[in-house]
Amino acid sequence: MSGSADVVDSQGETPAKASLGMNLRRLAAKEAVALLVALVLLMFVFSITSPYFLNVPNMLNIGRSVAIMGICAAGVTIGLIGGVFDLSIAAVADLTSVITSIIYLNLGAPPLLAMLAGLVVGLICGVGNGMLVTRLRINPIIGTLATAGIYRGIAFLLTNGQSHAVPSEGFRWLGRTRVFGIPSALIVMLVVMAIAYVILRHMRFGRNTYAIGGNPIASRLAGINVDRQRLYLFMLVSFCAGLSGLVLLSKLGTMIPNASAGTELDIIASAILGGTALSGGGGTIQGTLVGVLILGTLRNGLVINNVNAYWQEVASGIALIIAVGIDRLRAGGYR
Amino acid sequence: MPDDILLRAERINKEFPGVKALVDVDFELRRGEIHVILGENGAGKSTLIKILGGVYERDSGDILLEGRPVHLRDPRQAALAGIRVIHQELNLLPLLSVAENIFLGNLPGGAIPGTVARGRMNTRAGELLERLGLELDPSTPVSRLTAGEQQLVEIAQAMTTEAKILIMDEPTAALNDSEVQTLFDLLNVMTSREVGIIYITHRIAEVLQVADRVTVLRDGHRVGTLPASEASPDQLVQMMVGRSLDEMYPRSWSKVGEPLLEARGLCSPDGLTDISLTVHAGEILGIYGLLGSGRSRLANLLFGAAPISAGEILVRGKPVRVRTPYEARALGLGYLPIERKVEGLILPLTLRKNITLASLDRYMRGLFVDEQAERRSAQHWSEALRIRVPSIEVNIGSLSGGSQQKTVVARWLDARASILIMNEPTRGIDVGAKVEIYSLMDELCHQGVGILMFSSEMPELMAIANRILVMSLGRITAEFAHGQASQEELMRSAVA
Repeated sequence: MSGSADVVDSQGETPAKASLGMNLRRLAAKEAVALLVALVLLMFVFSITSPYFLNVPNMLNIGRSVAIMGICAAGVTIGLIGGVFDLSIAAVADLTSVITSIIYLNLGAPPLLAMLAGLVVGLICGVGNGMLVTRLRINPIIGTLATAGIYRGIAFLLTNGQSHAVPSEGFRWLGRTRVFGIPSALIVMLVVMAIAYVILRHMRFGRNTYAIGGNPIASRLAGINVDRQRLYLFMLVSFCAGLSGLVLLSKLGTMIPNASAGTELDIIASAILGGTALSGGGGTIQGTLVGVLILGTLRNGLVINNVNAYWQEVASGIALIIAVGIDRLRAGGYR
Repeated sequence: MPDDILLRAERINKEFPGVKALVDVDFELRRGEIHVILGENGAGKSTLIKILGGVYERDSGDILLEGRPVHLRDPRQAALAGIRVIHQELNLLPLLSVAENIFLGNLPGGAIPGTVARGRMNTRAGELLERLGLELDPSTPVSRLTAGEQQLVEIAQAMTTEAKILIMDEPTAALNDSEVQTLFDLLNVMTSREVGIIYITHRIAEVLQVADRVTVLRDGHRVGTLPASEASPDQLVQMMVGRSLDEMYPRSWSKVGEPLLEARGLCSPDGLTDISLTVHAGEILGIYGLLGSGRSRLANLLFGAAPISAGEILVRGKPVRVRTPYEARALGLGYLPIERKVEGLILPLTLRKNITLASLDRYMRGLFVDEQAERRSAQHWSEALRIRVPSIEVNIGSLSGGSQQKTVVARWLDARASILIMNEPTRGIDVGAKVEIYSLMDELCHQGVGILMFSSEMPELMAIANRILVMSLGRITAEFAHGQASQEELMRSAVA
């Protein structure tokens, strides 16, 4: 392999002058194509095995189910690019939904205000995670595993483990309506992803995120405030998690304290499947979108084909292995 | 082909997109000879080595091994053909013992199938080490050895294979003087066994010590091959660089202006004591010291990357707090760290993005980064500093050491730093690139930049620094003006 100069950097950009490093560039392009091919293949297979799969209502179904995952995955992607790994996303999503519901039901606040309060709680959780990692210097995986327990615990304490209906028109608009036939949840996801894309690709915050993920030591010595950047990233991840929790609350019309439990791995897997490096410094929102679609299609297809629900767990696990496997292959293999 | 020619490469060509790495290069290795390949980064030495080692495939040309044409498709084939390459990065397993590393892949089996005959392995390893004149206990874990000893173990490992040709890439980079001598003795043992050795280095002194013949490459061409006994340093430099030795240190002494950076009585918790110095605009203040003298600690300290326990720092006459690199940058300081790959560059990003890393504020148009302006700047710096790249969008990991170093300098120039702290700026860089960096530093002095240059290379400090401070054990022990210090005096102050 005669690789020397590489034309595609970790932000996935191909520059104007493209004539070098053919190998790596082709590989990166191949990968994006491979993902899309996988998605199309999956859809093809499912459309054969079941007549109920390939139609507009089902496609919108997939859209709706991936929307919630996608909102969270967008935040997770930005975090991972910056080297921030957060396992508390599901707990934050549920805590946000719990707090919002309580403020609405018990304090009688208007729905919009309750939702904003919920989002603020999400941000606070992010600050908590960030402080643990940047001040106490705790490893992010362990730290967020711990906070996940704390946040979930609080959610259960506040609700005594009970679910509660949250009837209100004021909540519908976020996750349970349609705009020109497109589920609102999907629109929210697309908006969030669009914003995430702009941040990563065009804003200084995004550039610094790639930098600290790529090499935190060198970033610090170049004058970037790495700790502050990491704190903001934790807040961003938790904010998106909280938002996804609100959309789920709106969609269900019910507050369930552990609604999102267990979805963390799927969300992280979709980001990695889409090309976000586990080690930081690389990844794109477009990739995550495809990753989310692949996982969502997989689940939907299995349900449509009446496959035992538990097989979905197996399928998710296998998808995660494939995702990480590809990530390691990209990085040169598990060494 | 005469019997004593082990390897002959004829008219080797290798081209990468945009770059002709090797053009009609001939190379010949005799049995039992040590043949050094000398050249700058980008000259083609690594490419040639990789072709001989089976890592790359040549575009055209022939390779003959003992008279037979061979096609070295991959490293395994090359190894089977008897060619072993020892790279700069060591390939030992740190948690295993010396003996285990030497016999890696070849562990002697014990009585029970599946076990290792540890005793026999250690004995054989011990014998090998002894034959090579190495005094090491074969059961020591490799992680406990010094870098130099590890290098020697790797060579011992190479000797357990039936290698006919040994290729070594900068083998003395991590060795101290006595280890270098052990290495040379080892090489003599091997040559007495008719092993041919190809040795890459940029240290001209070594060439004259150890080589039988030396081939100089420049810009992908073979400039010449001569017996080491007939080569002089001046001539070799001339061949490598196209420049004579006394053009090595370009320096036109600019006017020295007001004090930019001043340290008074600085102390640190990790051993720096009472450091006081002043860097003026237009001057290069050199700091010399041996390993452990505190140079890197001081460099980090001045840039806010390490805590200060006492003393103060003044920038342009005003006392300031430099507690983080972020604050240092804001004050106009820039930092060239000693390990550019680990501490200087963001490897997954392109050249352009690495250059603008510290100056992104200037490229903001509203909320967004103005990439057109970024590209213009990066283009400007890569031309001004002669960073040899096909495009500013290349991945920075593919650049040579000199180019990488210049990228970090470009970063701080783009950030409009007026005080540059450079820690070993020419470390691991070849002659031609070194001259370019000295030239750059001189140019910066003329622009009023103040440079603080830490170095362990006496000749360069003596040639280009306005003043030289000597450090030893965390303190400053002496100060010399340009032309005032001799090597002996510097060394005496460094061990005081």
